[in-house]
Amino acid sequence: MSYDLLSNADQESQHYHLDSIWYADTQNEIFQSLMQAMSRPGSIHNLESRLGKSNTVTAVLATLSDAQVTACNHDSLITDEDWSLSQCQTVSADKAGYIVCDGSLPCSINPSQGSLVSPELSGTVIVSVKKLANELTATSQDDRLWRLSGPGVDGVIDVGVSGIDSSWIHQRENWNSEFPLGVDLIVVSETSVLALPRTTKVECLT
Amino acid sequence: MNTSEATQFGFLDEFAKKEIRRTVLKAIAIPGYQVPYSSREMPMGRGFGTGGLQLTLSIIGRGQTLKVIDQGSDDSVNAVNLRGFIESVCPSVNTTTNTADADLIQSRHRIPELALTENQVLVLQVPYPDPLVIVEPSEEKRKIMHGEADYSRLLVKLYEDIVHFDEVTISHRYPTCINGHYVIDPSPIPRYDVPKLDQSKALVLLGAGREKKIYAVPPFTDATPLVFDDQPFHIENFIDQDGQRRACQQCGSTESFLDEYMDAETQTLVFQCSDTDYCTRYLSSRNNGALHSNTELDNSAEAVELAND
Repeated sequence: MSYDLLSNADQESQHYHLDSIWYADTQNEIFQSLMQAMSRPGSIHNLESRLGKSNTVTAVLATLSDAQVTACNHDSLITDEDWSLSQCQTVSADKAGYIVCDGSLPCSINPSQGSLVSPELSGTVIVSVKKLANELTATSQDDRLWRLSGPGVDGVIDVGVSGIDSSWIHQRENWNSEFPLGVDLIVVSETSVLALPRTTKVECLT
Repeated sequence: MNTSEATQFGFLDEFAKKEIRRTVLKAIAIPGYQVPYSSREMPMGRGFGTGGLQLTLSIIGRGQTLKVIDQGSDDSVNAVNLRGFIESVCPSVNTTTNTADADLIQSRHRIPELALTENQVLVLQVPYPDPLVIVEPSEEKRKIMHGEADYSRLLVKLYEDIVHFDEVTISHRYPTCINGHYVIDPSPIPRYDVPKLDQSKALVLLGAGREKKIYAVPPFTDATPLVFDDQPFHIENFIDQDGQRRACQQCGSTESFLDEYMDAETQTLVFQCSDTDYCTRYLSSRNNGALHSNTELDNSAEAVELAND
């Protein structure tokens, strides 16, 4: 698809009506945030300036997806138009490489955890939540404070996540009980992204 | 259309970049695991750093600063060619020889002397990614051994070395255990550089183009060389017959990794820093009469912290 090969400069000059997240330069910038997020669990990366009119969850999918990717739009967070632009093959959640989920709903998926010889064949879950912050004032039942440790974390780091059902952390623990098998999470809020690779230990403080 | 815009930014098409980016995220999530990827044909032979090059081209963005080194040197042939190629296909990327200025450092066989920071990414070129290849020829079986973290045969190999030679004879590509599970080939860096991988502040990505594997040592992750309790890991110490630490004949530093070569005229052994950027900066700071301690050099305006632990 030709849109993918256009630079942001082309976008301005040729009046394509595609949002910036579908262009190579923006996707490079979003990828760099994802790479930092994945290598430093608990670090929160603001994507606001890259989003244009799109939302964060679509931006993350756009950055990772092409025709080789299998994905599942589990809670229909991605519009049909954006879903087809991502070019991904639609499959069920247990077979998908990427699963887009609404974190406010109880976790009802069982993604692939990969195999012992090929742990990379696991699903990555993109979970949409209300808010991410490095500190939290617990005001509602859905506000959680997590203490993270493991590779990528210098000691421990605390993150506050609003609007995630408690089942997610419980399920994640089940999925990741047998390293190297496991499921990596990319948690996105309206503006920001953080990642929980399978190696990260999460202690629920609230 | 000018020539710079006629070529796709970063040479690789976006599909190739996306595949590598997805692979990189998996590699970070499973520290030390060799994630297979398709490894595109590059306009240079496999084995000339195409794995590192594909990583660099998939990651680097407009306006970022890149340093390319080969055996510590910015000016040797592999570094010059790779840098020239990247400059030609990434017109808005800046290149530097200054380690501290680089956002991304692509390196063949060395980790810079200057300690890397959290804002930097190190890309290492890897010729042979699998440390188990010396004890098991079948990749299928090696993958099972890696999955089970079964490195007993590798340890037997190290033990045999100790029996024959009283020490482990591996000088570079020292098998290193990442986060207590996967053992990696850390690329042909000398033993001297292996401790720099442990709890590194910078993300380290390793790319093997010919073998089509990408793996990673995430920041703040344990990287432990394989050893026995009674046979601790040694790094090169550069001690001469009189028990003195050799100094670089160019800059006089006694805290850097030294290359050893024979002077053609005098027929004597010469030792010189392998990291040319470190050597130049150390020399100029000495010439400027700046005081230097073990940990800091005052290099004109900025204090340059040295990796000399």
